[in-house]
Amino acid sequence: MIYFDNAATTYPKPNGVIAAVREALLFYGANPGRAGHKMAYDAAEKVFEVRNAVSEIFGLHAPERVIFTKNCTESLNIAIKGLAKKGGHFICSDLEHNAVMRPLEALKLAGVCDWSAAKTGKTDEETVAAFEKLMRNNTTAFVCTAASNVSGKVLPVEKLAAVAHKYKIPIIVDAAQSAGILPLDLQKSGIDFLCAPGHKGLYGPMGTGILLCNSDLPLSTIIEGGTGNFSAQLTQPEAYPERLESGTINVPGILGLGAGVRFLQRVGLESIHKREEKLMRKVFRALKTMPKIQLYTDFESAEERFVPLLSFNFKGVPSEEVGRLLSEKGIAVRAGLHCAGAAHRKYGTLESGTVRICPSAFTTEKDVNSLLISLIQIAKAV
Amino acid sequence: MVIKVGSVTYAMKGRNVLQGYGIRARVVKTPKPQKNEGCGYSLVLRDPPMNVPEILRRAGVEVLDAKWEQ
Repeated sequence: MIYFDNAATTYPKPNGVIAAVREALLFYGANPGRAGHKMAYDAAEKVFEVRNAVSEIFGLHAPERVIFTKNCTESLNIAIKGLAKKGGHFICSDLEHNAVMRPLEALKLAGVCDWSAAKTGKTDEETVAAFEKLMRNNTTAFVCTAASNVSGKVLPVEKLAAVAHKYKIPIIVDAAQSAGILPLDLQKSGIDFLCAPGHKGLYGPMGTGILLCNSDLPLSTIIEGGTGNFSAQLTQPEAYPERLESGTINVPGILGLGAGVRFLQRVGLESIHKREEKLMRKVFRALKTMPKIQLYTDFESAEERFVPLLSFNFKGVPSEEVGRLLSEKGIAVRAGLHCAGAAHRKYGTLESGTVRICPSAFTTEKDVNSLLISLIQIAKAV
Repeated sequence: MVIKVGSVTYAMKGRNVLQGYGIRARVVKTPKPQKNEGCGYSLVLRDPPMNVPEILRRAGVEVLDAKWEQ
């Protein structure tokens, strides 16, 4: 199988990740931060090493502010609901994934707060102006994806952070398609809460996610329970990370994530990005010459930037049908709405969905050539 | 000296911070937790300089208590 569904989760994982998960299960099988025996200390030590590594690659420089979650969706829920207050208001973009839209809508339906979606423009300035135009006296925070999971369009989260701070509110950034792909430095960018999956661009196992808290604003909890500290008290501890990590954490996943981060550091984020972009540009140029193809990603745009993923359709053909035909040829892509109905509404693809292809560090030129040959064959058949 | 900190994460961060100052510390489960606190973690140091709690606080480590013990 040739795998182009890396925007959903990267596959394969680096050998070091597989080894780290195995090692965790064999040698670090105790609950970290709970008991005082050797294996529990050793497990806690390993988890702390990963907190440190994650903190450093995102320029946070505070390992205790790295919260391990099960995915980016959970991180976004913790951040959004943790900041939500009665009578408040959130502003997000019109390209958000349901991991943002649904928690916001759930808060609205529960009568907690309201939300608005800013219309993203071709230019950063248009997008920033759209967010600012929606500001109200009761606006609690901005929530914005760093890159659309449908088109790959990069949004100006650093400029939005500056605007948010002008109004003394925080920004939550969904880095599902950008963590490990684009350089993100929390202290330089001013991003207050960064939510990211561990299992995509960071190459960790599925079931891992992170929330980085670069703000002193307290997050109220959506889950309470055992944390291994202050156990005689009935209230949740104040200090991170335990405040937001109730219950046993995913040690094998976290150690696997640590190995993924080491892989990324060894190969180099910039070098992976450059390679992936080169491959996607090749696909883009080829698809542009095919009259039956409609593209939703534009690597040649002078105004917009895109992460290396690409969405397209065969005109008049449902995306799921193209996905099926590619699967029959041994090529894995993601068709449909990508859990981002709002973005598809914007692109006019709510009915058809799109076919999304996304490479990883392991994608080769040969994989891309096979994909293009298959698409040419499908073009003749549909 | 036993320095009680907020959690195992703070204990490990604190140990690493002190290491940077050439001060050795060991992470342990808090030996005698207060009745109203329950479980927790501490740093144990042998003959540390007086300002260790201050070094930790400056580095953002939550120090709950510091006691000299025989």
